[in-house]
Amino acid sequence: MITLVILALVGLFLMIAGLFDISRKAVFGVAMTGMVAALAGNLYMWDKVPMAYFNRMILIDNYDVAFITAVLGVSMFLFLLSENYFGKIQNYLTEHYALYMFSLVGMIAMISFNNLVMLFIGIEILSVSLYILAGSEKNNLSSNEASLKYFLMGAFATGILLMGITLIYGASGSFYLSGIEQYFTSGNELSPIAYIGMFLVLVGMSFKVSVAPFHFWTPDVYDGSPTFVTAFMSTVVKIAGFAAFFKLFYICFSSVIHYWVEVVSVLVILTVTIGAMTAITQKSVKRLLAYSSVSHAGYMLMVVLVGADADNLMFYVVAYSISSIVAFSVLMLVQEAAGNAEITSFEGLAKVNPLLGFAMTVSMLSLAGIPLTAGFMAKVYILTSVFNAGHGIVVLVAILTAMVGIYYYFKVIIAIYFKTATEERKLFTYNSSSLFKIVLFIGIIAIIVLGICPDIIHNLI
Amino acid sequence: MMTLIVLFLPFVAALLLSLVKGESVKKIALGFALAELVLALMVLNQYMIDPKALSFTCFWITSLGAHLNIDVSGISMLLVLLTAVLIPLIILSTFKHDYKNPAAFYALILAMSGALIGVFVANDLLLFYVFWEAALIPIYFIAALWGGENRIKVTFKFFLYTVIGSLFMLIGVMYLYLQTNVPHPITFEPHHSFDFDHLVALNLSFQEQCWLFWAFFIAFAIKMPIFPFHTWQPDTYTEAPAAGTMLLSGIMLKMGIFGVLHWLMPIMNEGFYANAKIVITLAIIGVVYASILAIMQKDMKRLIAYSSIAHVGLIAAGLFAVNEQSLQGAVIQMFAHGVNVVGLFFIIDIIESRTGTRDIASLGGIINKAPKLGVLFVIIMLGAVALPLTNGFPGEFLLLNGIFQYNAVLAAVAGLTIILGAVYMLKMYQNVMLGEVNALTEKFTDLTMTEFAVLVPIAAIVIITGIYPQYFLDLTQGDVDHLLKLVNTNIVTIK
Amino acid sequence: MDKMFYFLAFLAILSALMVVLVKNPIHSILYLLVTFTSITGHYILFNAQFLAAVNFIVYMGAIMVLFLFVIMFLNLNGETEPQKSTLVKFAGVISGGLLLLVMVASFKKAVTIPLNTEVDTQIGLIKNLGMVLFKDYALPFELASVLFLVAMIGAVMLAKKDWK
Repeated sequence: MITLVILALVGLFLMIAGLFDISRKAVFGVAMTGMVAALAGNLYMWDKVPMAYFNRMILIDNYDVAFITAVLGVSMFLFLLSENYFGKIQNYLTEHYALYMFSLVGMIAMISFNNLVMLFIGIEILSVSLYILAGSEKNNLSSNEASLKYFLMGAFATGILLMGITLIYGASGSFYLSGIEQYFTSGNELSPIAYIGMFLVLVGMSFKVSVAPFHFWTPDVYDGSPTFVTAFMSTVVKIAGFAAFFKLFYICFSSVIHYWVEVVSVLVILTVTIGAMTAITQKSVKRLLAYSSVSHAGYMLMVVLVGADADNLMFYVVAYSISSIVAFSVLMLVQEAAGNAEITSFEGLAKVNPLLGFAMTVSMLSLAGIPLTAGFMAKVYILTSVFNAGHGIVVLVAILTAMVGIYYYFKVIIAIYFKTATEERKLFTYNSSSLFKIVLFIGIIAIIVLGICPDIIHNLI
Repeated sequence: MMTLIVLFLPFVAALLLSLVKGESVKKIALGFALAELVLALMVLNQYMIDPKALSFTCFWITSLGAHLNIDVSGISMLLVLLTAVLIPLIILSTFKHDYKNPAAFYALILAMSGALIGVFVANDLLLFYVFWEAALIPIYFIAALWGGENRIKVTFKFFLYTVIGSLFMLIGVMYLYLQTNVPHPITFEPHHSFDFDHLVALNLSFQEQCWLFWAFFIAFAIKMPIFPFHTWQPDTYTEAPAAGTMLLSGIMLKMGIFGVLHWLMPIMNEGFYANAKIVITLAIIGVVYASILAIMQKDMKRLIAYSSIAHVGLIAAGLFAVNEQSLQGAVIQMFAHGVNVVGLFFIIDIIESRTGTRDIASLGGIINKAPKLGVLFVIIMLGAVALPLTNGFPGEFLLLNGIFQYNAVLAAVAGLTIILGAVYMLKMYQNVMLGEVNALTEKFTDLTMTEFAVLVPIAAIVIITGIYPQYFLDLTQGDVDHLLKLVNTNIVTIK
Repeated sequence: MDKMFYFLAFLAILSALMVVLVKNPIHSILYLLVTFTSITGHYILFNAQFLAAVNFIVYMGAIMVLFLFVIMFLNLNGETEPQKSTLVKFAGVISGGLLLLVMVASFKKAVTIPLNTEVDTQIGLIKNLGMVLFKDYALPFELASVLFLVAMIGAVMLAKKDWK
């Protein structure tokens, strides 16, 4: 709870600070300090008795603390790698930071909700902040298009989500998770409104986390937004989205699992397949990462399918986020140097800047699921638990699409190491400060260490 | 404890090597490789005294029940020894080349050797799988960064092909894992485990065994390779640098054979026995097919690549015939083939670096210019042909004997391999070494000290193990007997 | 009272249909205004005073006026708008119809939940609404302020001209 307050206050403070002429470093420092303080306030709640606040609107237990830590940690990691991006913003710098702070507020409300109204408000705050951030590159037509598309489709999906929440309230008589759970486990004949409401909520949430076939906004929005915003959207937002998704379905709807397990397994198969198939033909690394994030969303949805292993979800989102952020931060530098985000811009990167080439390679290997990286362990955990629950076909499809995935992830690695750069590209300088290099190196080490010893993060929940 | 050091020394060495700059990289790499050899010999010594002392277990991933469980049995001891002997020779053989970025090159070779040893000593299925895949990454980079012209596509095909096989194996691994149900060592709750002993003790139904067999076998068949999964092999062997090809053919393909012996046979014994006929047929088709293709090859490296498929096909057939002779033959032939093929590829490397070509037709008369090379070449070549008194003979003889006990017709067809092998090997030797000296081979200098230092031990091993193979047979006897017992006790119902 | 309900419902549906059927966009908005007026009337029938007042002031007074302004600025006409192909129109009708079918079927089968307490007919009054909003739902209410702040930031950020 205190996390929520700190982040909102930091956001407000930053906005007011924008009135004065403050240096970029100071703004960055204030934002980071605020996030560290919020993280500390959050960790304080670890292993305490679950407390409910504000008339049981939010309920903080270990699950929430873990996921909020993941969200804040990953955001801090991303911010530390982002000075290029923030260095180029001329207008409204503090408003940018404030929007990120407010989106984090929305995410925390989404993760720690105990009442569907809180879930809704959290999703809305998060989404509106992201609509604005996606369109923040005002001179870029694709950024405007991304923002508009995201806004229209997002508003539509929010409408469906709200209808679902209303129908569930109509059936169960309560907005609280415990009340809904009681209604679903009561053993009486459930009203059909409840089932429809459940499916509408499923549709609305699936949109937010870009699960097929509700993912059609993802490639255009991810491609059009500034690369930093894409990195933020595809990692941090997914952590929060799936944390909320899992919590909602696990607490409320697990007693009627036979109703939605087939639907969700079809969604998983579709997501994983579509994500892999469409990524094969991509020439732009940014779009490739966007489609691959769709297929990773499929893997995260598998945990909802099984319904019992929040550990695996946590490990997967953390492993995926770290790998993805490393990839995006290298992409940001390459994009700035080469002017575009195509695979051809990566050619010969290993000779020009070995650290960036190595970082991108490790991150691609992790996203593909090659052993000794965090991505492999994450896939093993999830696939084993899905297999255990008896969904053999889902496992088979996941493995087949993993094979396809290796193909397109390796296209980038091949370009980095085995193609030679053109003469003009050899002269690019990749401006990276020592802070960037250190944090990137820590990211690489984290991916490899988590691949060898995943228990560091895994057994927490 | 010692096994732990043998396992992790190459990785540490690789890390340290990647930081070294300058010319001394080669010598440091050789130093580490020799240290590894010494350690491996110490492990061998310990194994003769007390095998139990070599096993080591500690917790790795408690949430999955995977342990860092390493152990050395007879067959794996042989293969660890093979790796430890071959790696210094391989490193020594690269000395005459001046590869760019040598620190990375040698670090990758050492890292790969560590992963290979890991595959051989892992007693925990997840650990085995991780090392299996991890061995692929260094060889991919070695072949793709320092290889021939067509390397990018070819190595990517190799990588993708192998990983597809491994992913099928992953399904099998997960399924086996979920079938186990043993008490946790600390909390005593029932949980799943990847441990070898627990997996062997599983009681799987016949259906399960059959599909699990195929899931695992696809991965092993692609690695060995066995017809028809061999299409990646000739191109990759040809395009990879000499050291890469030596690593691939000398040690990496033994991973596939070892997988069959150590994991496939004990755990899926019924499925093993039921599917043996198909596999042996495929393997023997591969033997004859590859031998015929080898005769037609013009490029020396490709010829040896095809001959490697032929040899491995015979070994695989022997594995699936499941009797004492064939298994022992397979084990000995593994060691012999590893040594021989490394020697042969090195000689091809020498010839190529001197004359600039590997084309058999355009060479000739080298023996007049380089008699030492000629003598050593003929020794190693005859080892590959399986002449008696060379190391190829005991293995081949036992294998054919064992397959004959299984099915006489198949053995007769397999016996063609001896004839065909002699054809292409002798033809190659004759065209390259004997005959008239021509413009290309005019300036051929004889072996340098380092080259001599590599080939003499190989030739020595060829002759010594040919004359006295009993040492190796004794080393692996216990393991082979154990395997036979495991397979035979459970197939009483089928027979 | 029943007559009032039927009249307002009829008005709502009729004007909603006219919204999508008329060609002139300004007429469309005016019909939308009529729709919202009838909805406001429905709210009053529920005794939801606050909701009716807010609907009237905010929705009809502010948002609809904004719609009018934007349409007048953009000068939209039926002729300049690209029309969707007939196939897409068909698909739209079918999927919309399916959704309608599902919702109607479910609502028909819906059973009213017997409530434990008496329905408080005064629940829509502003005083009672305020009590619930500021006591039970205080946190979402305050967080909604964050949402509005974000929207305001966005409006300024995106629409205002850059000065650097």
